[in-house]
Amino acid sequence: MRIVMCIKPVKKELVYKEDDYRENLVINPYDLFALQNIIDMKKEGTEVICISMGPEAAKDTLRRCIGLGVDEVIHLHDKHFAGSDTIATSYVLKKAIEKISDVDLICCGQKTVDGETGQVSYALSEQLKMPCIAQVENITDLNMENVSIERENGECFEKLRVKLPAVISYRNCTTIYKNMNLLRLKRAKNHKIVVWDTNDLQVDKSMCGLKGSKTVVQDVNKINSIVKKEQTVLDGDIKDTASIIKNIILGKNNGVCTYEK
Amino acid sequence: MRNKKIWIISDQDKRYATEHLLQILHKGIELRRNDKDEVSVICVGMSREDQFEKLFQYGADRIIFCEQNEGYSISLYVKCIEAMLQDKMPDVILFPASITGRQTAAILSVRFGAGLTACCTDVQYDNEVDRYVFIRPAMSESVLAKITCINKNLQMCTIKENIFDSEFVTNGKSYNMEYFPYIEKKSEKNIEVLERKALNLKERVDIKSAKIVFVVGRGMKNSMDLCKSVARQYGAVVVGTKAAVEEKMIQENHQIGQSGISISPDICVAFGVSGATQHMVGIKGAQLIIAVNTDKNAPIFQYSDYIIVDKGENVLTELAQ
Repeated sequence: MRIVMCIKPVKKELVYKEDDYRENLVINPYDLFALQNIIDMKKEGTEVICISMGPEAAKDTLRRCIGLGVDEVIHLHDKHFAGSDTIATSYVLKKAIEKISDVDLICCGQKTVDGETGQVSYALSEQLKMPCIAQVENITDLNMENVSIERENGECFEKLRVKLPAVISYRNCTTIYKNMNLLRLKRAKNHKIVVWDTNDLQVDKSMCGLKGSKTVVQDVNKINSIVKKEQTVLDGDIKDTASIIKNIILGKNNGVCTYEK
Repeated sequence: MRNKKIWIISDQDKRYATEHLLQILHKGIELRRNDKDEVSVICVGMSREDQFEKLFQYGADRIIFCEQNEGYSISLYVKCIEAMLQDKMPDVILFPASITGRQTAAILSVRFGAGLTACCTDVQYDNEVDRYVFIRPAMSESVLAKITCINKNLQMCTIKENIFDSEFVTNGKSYNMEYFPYIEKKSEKNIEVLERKALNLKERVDIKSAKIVFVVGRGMKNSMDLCKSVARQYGAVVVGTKAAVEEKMIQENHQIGQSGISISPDICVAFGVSGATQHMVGIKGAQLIIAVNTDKNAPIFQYSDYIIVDKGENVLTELAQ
């Protein structure tokens, strides 16, 4: 049984507030959740391969995946991949999955914290002509023929059995790395990472990167900051402060509050 | 300049004229440059006169309807829309950014090689390049990106709920229905539903029109029950930050901020919310903000009218009296 896990490295500022993290890139939290779920249920005879399309620095992120317990990682890296939108990205991922061959299950997080489009898993399933099951909470059973999953689909909870091969995307995210096995981490440090470029994948250059994209970002504006206000600090006994708030909510003017109903 | 065909896709099989869809419809009408541009709503599912009528009342120029049985599979739904697209190609398609809408849009964008922009908060028409400009927040909602489609005429986007207002137009619009038959040739049964039960969703409160709102952040993880009961007592609606949603303290449809909903209540009381910009954007419309946080340097305090440096729990306990 072969499972491919698509991951994306994202800037650490988007995930961690504290600066206690050495690398600049971390695993996208949605992908991390999916990865941990897959590793937790991995059985004997199941091979988990992580693929990631991204810059040179993505190698460290992939190393971390080895440390977390995946069997193999592949870095899809080529200057022609730069600037890919969701269609171009899903095309490159498809080519990589075809090259890996005999893949039974493909897992993704529902979206990344940087792009936040949530389109790649669906687009990938379409590229591969496989069904895509989104909003997955967890896998309850996995065998050679089927995967059974539980998911929340808008307003109902569903248990589904899906014929393999299929693409699934997890709904949840996590920002906590479980404790890594030190020995594994050591091994990961020396692990030679496989890199596939346009030639290895035999991709049509007009279908990936900026050339293959159907959307282009024209410009990006920082979002306007919000108006700062003069504030009244309510301190002293909690009973008093709470009663002031109570009066504000109830619309009573008690001398402190200038709020007009 | 040819006339533009603007399509809006309903993601329902019997209630087509949902509030979300009417909002998108209103945006679609705004995108018309003149009377010759046409806004069509695409419906797949059961025939429902009342729903069609409502769509016309809210300004649809045409409804293209493909009749199918209730509870069709998503693959059939996608095939119906694909067949319509092959038959008559619009210029731009607006999908709701719902689970179904997002999936359909992503699949069709690959099938037709059409650019797709996710979760837009605005769409404009750029006369100079004769293209639509899609605007959406990105990078953890710290920036707004303007995106256009290239290499293909068909342009698509999904649109978030509660970004635009719906607007009743007229009772006198002509009933312009177009029927589009589609029969599935072969269906693959590769997904089997073992069990399906409705989630115990509490009555859907209208967050947008709430006068008093309690916002919870990650800091309130262990006092949600208290918070909810106090909110009930004061007639407030409880909403949360992205962090609160990630912690499963609150449902996703109650998320406030750039990636959730923007609200403008009279009073907003924030408990344990640090005040990241992307969240503040969602509550900046509040007339009065009261913030409770244990961290005296929490950014939210700069944007608040009243501040209390304390545990949210303690304040709530007092409010419960």
